[in-house]
Amino acid sequence: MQLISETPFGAGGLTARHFRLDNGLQVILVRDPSAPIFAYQTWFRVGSRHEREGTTGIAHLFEHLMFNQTETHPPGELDRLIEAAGGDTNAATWVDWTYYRDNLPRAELELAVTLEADRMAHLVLGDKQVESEREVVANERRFRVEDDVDGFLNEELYKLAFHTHPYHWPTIGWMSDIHAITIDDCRTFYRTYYAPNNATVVVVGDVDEATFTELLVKHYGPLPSQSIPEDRVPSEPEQLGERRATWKKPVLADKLRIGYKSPPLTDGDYAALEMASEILFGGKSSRLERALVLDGEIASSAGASLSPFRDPGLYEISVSLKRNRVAADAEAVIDAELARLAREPVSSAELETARTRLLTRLMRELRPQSGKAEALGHYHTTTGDYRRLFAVADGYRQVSAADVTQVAARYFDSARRTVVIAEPDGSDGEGAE
Amino acid sequence: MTLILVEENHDLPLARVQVALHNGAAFGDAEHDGLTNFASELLSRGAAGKSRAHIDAAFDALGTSLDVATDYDAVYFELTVLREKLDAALALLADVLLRPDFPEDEADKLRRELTGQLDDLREDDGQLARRFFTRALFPGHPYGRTVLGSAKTLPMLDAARARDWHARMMRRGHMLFGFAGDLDEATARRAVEKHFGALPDGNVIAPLVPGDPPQPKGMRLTLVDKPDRTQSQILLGQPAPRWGTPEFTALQVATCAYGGTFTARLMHEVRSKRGLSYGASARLGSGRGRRAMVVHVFPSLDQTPETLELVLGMHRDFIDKGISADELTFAAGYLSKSAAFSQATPEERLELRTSVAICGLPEGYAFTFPERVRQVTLADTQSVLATLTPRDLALCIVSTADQLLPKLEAAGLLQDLHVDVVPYDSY
Repeated sequence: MQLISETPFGAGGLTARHFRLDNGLQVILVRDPSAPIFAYQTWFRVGSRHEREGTTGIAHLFEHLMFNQTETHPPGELDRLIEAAGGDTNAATWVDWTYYRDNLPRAELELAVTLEADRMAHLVLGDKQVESEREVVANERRFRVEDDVDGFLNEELYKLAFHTHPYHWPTIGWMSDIHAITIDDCRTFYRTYYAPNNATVVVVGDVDEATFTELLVKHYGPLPSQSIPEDRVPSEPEQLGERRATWKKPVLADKLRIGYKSPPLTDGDYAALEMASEILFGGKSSRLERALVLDGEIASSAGASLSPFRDPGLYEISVSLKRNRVAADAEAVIDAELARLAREPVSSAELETARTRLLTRLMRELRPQSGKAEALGHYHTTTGDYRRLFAVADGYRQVSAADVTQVAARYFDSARRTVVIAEPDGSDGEGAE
Repeated sequence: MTLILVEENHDLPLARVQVALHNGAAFGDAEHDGLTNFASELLSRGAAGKSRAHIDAAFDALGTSLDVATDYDAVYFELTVLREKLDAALALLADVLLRPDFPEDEADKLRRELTGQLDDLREDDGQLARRFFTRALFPGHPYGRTVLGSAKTLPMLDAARARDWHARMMRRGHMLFGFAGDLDEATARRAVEKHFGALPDGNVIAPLVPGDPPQPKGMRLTLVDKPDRTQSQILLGQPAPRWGTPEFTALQVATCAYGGTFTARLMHEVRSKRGLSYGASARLGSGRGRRAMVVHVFPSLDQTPETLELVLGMHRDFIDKGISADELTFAAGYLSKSAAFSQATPEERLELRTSVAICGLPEGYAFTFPERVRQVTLADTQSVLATLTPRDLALCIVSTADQLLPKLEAAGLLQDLHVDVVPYDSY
């Protein structure tokens, strides 16, 4: 096992150490004894971007299957062993990655290494497991999309904004594809993407490095590396005009989503766009929180987020209108504020407020061991270098008022935006009592 | 004597401040449901001669937001700041808590804002189910009210009522100060005295300990009718023992075995074996008074009868027959070992200690949890389950009534079940 890099993690004396095993498995370890527990996460460089039409949702369905059965552990044994040790385990799939997380007491390091190495290479896939999880995922989709107007609009926003790039389809997959995925599709997916040379193990917590490295070599060392397909996805053509769609839904007032094409996480503009977003939507004194919610009283809630993706994504604005207002009212206010931000430099006080808020939030997210592990895994898997995480704070510190004006002008272009709206279908009940 | 809790930790230059008031939404009269939340929110919308916009901008400039959270037993005012901003943040917080102006125009605006939040809530089926279920489970009881208020009560809330609430509530003896992070206890005490020294003395209003909730008789279904549902949100449950009693701990272990983990009975039967619902859980509520044991599943509309029949059968089985010795060992082991995760950060330790203090339990109670759980016997779990009646349940389903009712009828599930169908925007 080879040490690749070693980097201080914050000012509290922690260090992130990056290793690589001979089979290509990467490991990031931060010894953090602040609590007698550890976070153990396995990040695979596979997400919904690696899917194809017809089998959308397979990365997520497969994540469910990873909890079932291996050659040495019967169905449900992994969960049972983790819980018996007092831990908890779960997983998440998104566009660029899939990761599995275990939180365990410090005495259970060997359990985590054993179980995770085992399912990386020795999963058992049978019809029964696939059929049962298919139903669970279909129910998850009903919960998150079919019966949730916000989830529906998010899905439609990306579907309309991206025509050729796989960000077009939702990570959970189209319902028809969830029902169509075969067991052979799952087996091929496993053989293709689940290998040590396509993964990074991130461990943060009260663990002994010597014991940990010994366990890694013992349990992951024998796993063979595989030939991982090159990550070639079709690039999205330049958007040349606004795209827009409206649906009737059982809502009491309009719901609005606007997505502006935005830069990838590694782009030099990313920090400035985060600052712009904070000025617009961060905190109660932010420009659009006041104009839409607190002073304007057009909306009951408003917010925005910037997609932290490997490829260009969306700057998403979400607004829930009040009953007597319509989406166009909010759009007019938003347009005016975005244009002002692209035209007039922000004051130094506004800039400092945004900077302080972002720095405080970053620190809060990195407080728990699991938060540190998640940030390291996300940055390493999405950008290829976990050390980019340590540059985030400096990125905020270096953003100037001129940078904010420039990114607002560059990205808030109406020809590169997509707008989706849900309007009331008139099916509200019999009135309030 | 001002109660101050401190969790000192210098890993990061951050400080969490938490001020808790020891009465929450359960306090007061039902006609003014939502007053505690309304009044607490109004405090930061004009104080010490500063406008809401000024206060918002000042908190934002400090890199923080003031979070105000009302539950049934308490109100929590919380913020997290960089250590260097702590003194300025406390000065501003003191203005908000001690010197609110209750401007009429802001009270009107807040009322409209809360009405909008009520609409937002109606679009979230999970929240909608919990709102109607709570009313059905605790009819006429303080825990059966809403924190937010209702379309009927919100128009009755105004600046005068908020001012009156503040005058009665904001006293030294009603408050608990908590700090976590980059400061020590002496610093915390000096800060409280400096910024909150002007608080009136006295413990005029004791913390409300709600009486026993009415026990459901038979099974009553509240069917919250919402159009175009593909899925049903199902909640069922009954009142449970009070937190802090041995009976609660015993039921906590049993409930964990029943539906508290991924491998528990409910998850195994409903999700893992049959794929009927993405989630299947049982939870035991904790508070100053008796709360409830609640089961939650959300199957597709088509699979609702099958899921409901399965879960009702499992619930009867759980209460009638209890849990096995293996289940007890597993659940007690899980709960005692996993306690470390709820105490991992200084903020989490402060939260635990605050909950314990708010509910009138002894200092340190939360940290003896592993020991208490390990002492629970099978006889203890059987004894507490014997106090529950498996056929006296409150049941709430959010679904599309004209689609669901024929399916329930066909499955024979409407026999012996009193059904109330209510429009989803009616409460």
